[in-house]
Amino acid sequence: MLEIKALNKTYFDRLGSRQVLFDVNLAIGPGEIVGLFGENGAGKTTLMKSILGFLSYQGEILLDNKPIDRSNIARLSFATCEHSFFPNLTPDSHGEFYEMHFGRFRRERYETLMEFFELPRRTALKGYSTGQKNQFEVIMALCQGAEYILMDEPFAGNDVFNREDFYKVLLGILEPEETVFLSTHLIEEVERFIGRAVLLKGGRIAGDVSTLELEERGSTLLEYVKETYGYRADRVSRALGELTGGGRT
Amino acid sequence: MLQVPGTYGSLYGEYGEPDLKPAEPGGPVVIETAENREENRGMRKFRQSSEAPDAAGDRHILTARFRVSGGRTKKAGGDGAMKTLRKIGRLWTQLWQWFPPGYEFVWERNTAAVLLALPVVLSLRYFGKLREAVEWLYYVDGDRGRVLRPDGVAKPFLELAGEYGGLFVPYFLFLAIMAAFHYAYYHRETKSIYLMRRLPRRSVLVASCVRAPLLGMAVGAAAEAVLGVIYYGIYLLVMPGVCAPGFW
Repeated sequence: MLEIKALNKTYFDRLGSRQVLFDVNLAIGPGEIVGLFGENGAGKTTLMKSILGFLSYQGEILLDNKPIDRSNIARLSFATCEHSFFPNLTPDSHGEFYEMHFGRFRRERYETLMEFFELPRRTALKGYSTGQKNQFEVIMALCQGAEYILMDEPFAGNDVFNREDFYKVLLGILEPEETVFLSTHLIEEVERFIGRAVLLKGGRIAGDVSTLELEERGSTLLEYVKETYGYRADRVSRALGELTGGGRT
Repeated sequence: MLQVPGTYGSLYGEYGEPDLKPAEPGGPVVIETAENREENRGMRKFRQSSEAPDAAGDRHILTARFRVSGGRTKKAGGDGAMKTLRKIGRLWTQLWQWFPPGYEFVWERNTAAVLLALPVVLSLRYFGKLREAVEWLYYVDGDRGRVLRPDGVAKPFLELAGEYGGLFVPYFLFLAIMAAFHYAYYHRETKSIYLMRRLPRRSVLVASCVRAPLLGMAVGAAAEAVLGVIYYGIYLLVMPGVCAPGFW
């Protein structure tokens, strides 16, 4: 169980201090597939990086009641749109590197996924297209052997077919104890894939709902997000009307 | 049949094509020429009759220190040196193991080599200074020739060679900066720092940044020490003992 308790995060820079996470409380159980949604600057990436210990924070983040440190960090993996691989190395060199450092590296899964996505094995990753880089980033996160797989906008730059393939593969290969915490803007796309949606707004948890609950309510995830965010559908038409003078009539 | 090792051209003219079978490991072979033919025959008889019961045929007749390897000849005495050179060559090209994964280390390795070679070369000026210092201890007497000054005191070693130690400073500074550069590498192009910081062994990240610079520093310190010992040895050797040569 990944537990986040009273998490606060403040950035300090030359312009002063800026709090981006406010009293975030969240618990993610084993085997869950959780989507993290929110507008740009809502604090999604900060939350992910805090969990991984890349940022300092106030509050508590526990993995099975233990703080996350070197002893249990390998239970978490991370795929990010910024990419965390070595650009000059080949995929197979990465495989060796992961095998060397992560005792539970899933070699078989790695081979299968590399083959499925037809990624060149002996090309340095800097020679990959953005879509291929994203695929590889996700493949490594899935193959590390971690129980909690964190993904931050992993498919930014991939075409729709590619993303669709990935969702299907993910659902097919994930084992019951594997947990995915996925941050994305592709709300409609991941709706069928996730089991729970967490919404961040202005650094606070604004919504936390299971997709089953939404189904029972007869609502879609996008509707739920819009509702939680107080999205006004007529905002654009009003603004355009004002700009073109139509608003005065 | 006399076996001629894999040498080419007129050497084996009158004997026809050589049998290029390699000799037994470590076993001597003969290169027979017009000059040594008689000597070889004598040696052959000697070996066959008395000293060498295992020397069946002509394969183990020693006339020169050559060893056959795959049809090519090379000096046996040079094997050790070649092996060492090969090892150094391997180390030189496989230095990547000491750098962060995927780091393009060649420019850094080459720059460090130049920065290390520079003070070594510049320090050769020490010999000029040493010669001057030795010459200063003598004067030329018309009758007696070159005579040691009675009040002559040798310049201390450090006064002659001390400044060259400072020439290594840019090399060490470069390596220290490179350690920081290696850390910055994990933020370039991608954020591989996220992977490095997630490794169960924290030391991997630190080691990958400092390992190569520390190796370079050790090599630099060793080079400086070896040069110092050699130069001091030469100093002791050439300075007249009565002039009380000193280190400081």
